[in-house]
Amino acid sequence: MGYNDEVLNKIIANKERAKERKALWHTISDSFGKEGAEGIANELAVEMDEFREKFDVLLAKLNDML
Amino acid sequence: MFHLIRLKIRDFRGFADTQELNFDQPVVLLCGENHRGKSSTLNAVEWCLFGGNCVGKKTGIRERIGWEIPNRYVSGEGVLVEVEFKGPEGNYVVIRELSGTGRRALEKIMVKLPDGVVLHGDDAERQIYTLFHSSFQDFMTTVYQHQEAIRAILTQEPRDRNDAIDRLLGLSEYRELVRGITEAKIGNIYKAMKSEFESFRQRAEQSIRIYDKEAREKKEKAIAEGMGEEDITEKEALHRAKDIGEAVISLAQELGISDLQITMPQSFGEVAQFRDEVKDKIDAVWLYSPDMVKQTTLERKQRELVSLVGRYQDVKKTEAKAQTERDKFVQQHGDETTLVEAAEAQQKEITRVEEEIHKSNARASLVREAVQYLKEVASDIERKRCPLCGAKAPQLLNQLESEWEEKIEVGVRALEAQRKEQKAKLKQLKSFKDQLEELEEPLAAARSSFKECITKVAVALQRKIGKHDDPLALLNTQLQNIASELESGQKAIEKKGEKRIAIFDQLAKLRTIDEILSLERKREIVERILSTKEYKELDKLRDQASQFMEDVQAIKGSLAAASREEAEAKINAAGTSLDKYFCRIANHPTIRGLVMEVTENSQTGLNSYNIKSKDGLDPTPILSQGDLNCLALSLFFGLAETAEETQPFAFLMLDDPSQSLGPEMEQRFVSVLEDIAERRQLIISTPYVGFKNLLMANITKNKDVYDFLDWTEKNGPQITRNA
Amino acid sequence: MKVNTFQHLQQIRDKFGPGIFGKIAQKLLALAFREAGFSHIVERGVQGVDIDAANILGKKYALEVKTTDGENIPISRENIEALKDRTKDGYLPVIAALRVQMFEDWIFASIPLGGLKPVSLPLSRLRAYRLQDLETSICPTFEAVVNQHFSNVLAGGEHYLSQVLAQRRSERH
Repeated sequence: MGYNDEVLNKIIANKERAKERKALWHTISDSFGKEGAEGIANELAVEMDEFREKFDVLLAKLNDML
Repeated sequence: MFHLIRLKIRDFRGFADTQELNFDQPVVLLCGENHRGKSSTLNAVEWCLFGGNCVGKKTGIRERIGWEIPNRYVSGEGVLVEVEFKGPEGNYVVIRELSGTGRRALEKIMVKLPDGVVLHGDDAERQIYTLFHSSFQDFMTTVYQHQEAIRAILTQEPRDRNDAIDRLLGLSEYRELVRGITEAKIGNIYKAMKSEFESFRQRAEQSIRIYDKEAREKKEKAIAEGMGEEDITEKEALHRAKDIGEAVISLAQELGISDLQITMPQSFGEVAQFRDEVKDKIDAVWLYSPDMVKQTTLERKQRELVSLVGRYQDVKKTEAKAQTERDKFVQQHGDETTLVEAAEAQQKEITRVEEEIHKSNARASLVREAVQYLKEVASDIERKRCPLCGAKAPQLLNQLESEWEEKIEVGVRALEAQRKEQKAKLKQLKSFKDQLEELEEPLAAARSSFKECITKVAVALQRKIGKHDDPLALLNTQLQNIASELESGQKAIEKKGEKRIAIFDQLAKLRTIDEILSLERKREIVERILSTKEYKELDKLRDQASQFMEDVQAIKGSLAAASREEAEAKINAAGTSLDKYFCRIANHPTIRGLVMEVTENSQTGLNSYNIKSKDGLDPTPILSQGDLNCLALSLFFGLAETAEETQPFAFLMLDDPSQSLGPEMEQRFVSVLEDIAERRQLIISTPYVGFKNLLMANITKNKDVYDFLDWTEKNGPQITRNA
Repeated sequence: MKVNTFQHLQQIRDKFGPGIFGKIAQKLLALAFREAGFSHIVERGVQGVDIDAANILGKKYALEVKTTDGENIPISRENIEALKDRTKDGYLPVIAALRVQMFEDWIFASIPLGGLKPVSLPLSRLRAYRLQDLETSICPTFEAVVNQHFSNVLAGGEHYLSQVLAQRRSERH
């Protein structure tokens, strides 16, 4: 998996949020290994949806305050 | 370097029974029609080396998704592929097996080293990597040219050829990784979150604007009506409430209620309730104060007496009128007694006349009948005699007729006229009597009503009304007294009423202050949302979501950059070789040399390949299918040549490489193969007899030919070897 | 930021227009940095980074100041170059962006310059790089500065603020 090392090198070189991005990259490459491109799409959508769910709950509370 | 020596296949894809092929010649041809197992033979080598890494979505190759390894028509001992290589230190055998299906599939890998050591499982995999240092992608781009790779560049739309070239360069995985990230569309989810937050923000903003506007308008109005800015505070509101409470208690005392309790507000929040309480209490106090009760009672009495006055006057008038009419009638026609006596007399007279008539009628009827007899019945002779006594009476008829006309008829007529007149008189008298009765009735009723009214007046005035008392005068006197009492009561109440109105004024002002401050409070509540725990959490969440987006973008960027760098490196490395092979095989009349560049597609992040001729023109509009085939081959050979120094494998596998080449291109291609055969073992699969013959005739190295004659479900390919 | 502050800014913008408002906001921000204890403030109207701010603890920020009422801010090549230039002197490059809408406040973002291109940058992207400590320190001070100087700014505009900044500078010396 040459691409794995290539991407990791770039993440580390960038320094910015290297730790978080390494972890995310592992998630992406694992998903890719199991389910290909669809696996990545699902995984990222699920993670983003988690933000969305929490966001919806908080926003509903704020809307109630109005 | 490792040479391919031997290949054994069982149950792999189209293969059924175990088949063995030897690759001990510099050039080995696999020839036969399509679907005979030629590609599967080459695939077997690949699968043996790389196993699952050359299958499935992760390869980024479309046809490898759902790629079947076991022969679906056979349920035998399981899949087995055994490949023998000759390396620098001897022969190496790699055996990969697959048994079972689906989740129960079990893959086994074994490597036999020249020294006899046998490795299994992960050790075997590691040994394969140690020996060959090759990934499946590397193998695909520098050792084994898939027929699908050429087909892809031939069949894809020009704008989609980037995908095909990525594949030729072994960059499909990058492409798929980037595609997966793009298809997640997390940007859309983030956008939706942003949009919803914006809606919330706008709602909050609108609320504040409305509260601001309403508060400002009320304030302006209040100030215009004399209130000061300094009056519109919570402290001032409580102050006012206290004053109002005290004023209400004082008023209640003046009104005669000494035990009124009012709950004073201790905080601004209690002011609204205080206002409602005061309003209710002040109404009650006002209505039930002794002064007001007295006034109310007097007013009620006044109304009652006024009504009685009207009633008395009405009944008196009615009675007088009835009396007058009756008296007038009696005066004209007499009273009842007179009328009855007159009627009796009249009746007697009528009786007398009727007797007279009776008498007259008896004689008249005799005469009438005699006349009739004499006229109509009697004969001439009989007519001259009296019909009663029979005496002669020749002029009887004339006599009788004359008597009838002159005396009898006249007399009876006169009596009858008299009788008629008498009867008419009697009738009139009876009518008078009836009329008199009709006039007596309302008079009696009027008298009864009058009596009733007197009684009511007596009750209302609480005294007896004697015969000589004037009820009307009594009523009017009482009304005057009441009016006088009401007037003095009103004056007393008016003063207290002014106090009441003043309290209501103060309440109205308090209400205004309350409303203004309530609006300001509501505004503050909205504003304070910014300081709530929920808002801060939301803000943090937005940051985290944004960070996540940035992280994903950064990784996508890294993938894109890595892909592009690798493409650039490979193209640069293969650069002159690419150009050399293309020119040699294609020999295009107008394209003198080929240069390939790679850039990043700014929208997708994927590689975008630009092919230019050396004179800077874009040749893609004039590239034929054959030219594209040459391009694919040139890339492959270019990359293979670049990798030659470090390449572990001494052979190249080409699957149907001449798909779209014309005869002349084929010729040139074969001459290129002849050169390559000097350095590398060639294993070529082709369905074309012509191409096979070209190879046979022009490749000067020793050749082995495997003819794939047939294929059946039960037995797999039927292969014969022609050395 | 509080609603009052927003309404003040809105009035300033309505009076002077978005262009001048941006300059006024920049000067107000510079003043806020000074009030927050950044003793060395350089505020520029033309060439170079908009604000340099350094405090006695050694924290140094080079800020490109942007105001908008929309959702994006324009980042030019010159902005990027100017920020890059300041990094050589040890300044942390920061984009200071204010969306002039209710319930919005300054975002101070240290976005990596390496991947930054001249672009209409969405404010949402800056959230990933927020400098929370700086925001906590500067935002309330900015509000106080706006409310304190509002009437004079409305009357005197940029010129007034330039005088105030100059005065603060001389007081320091």
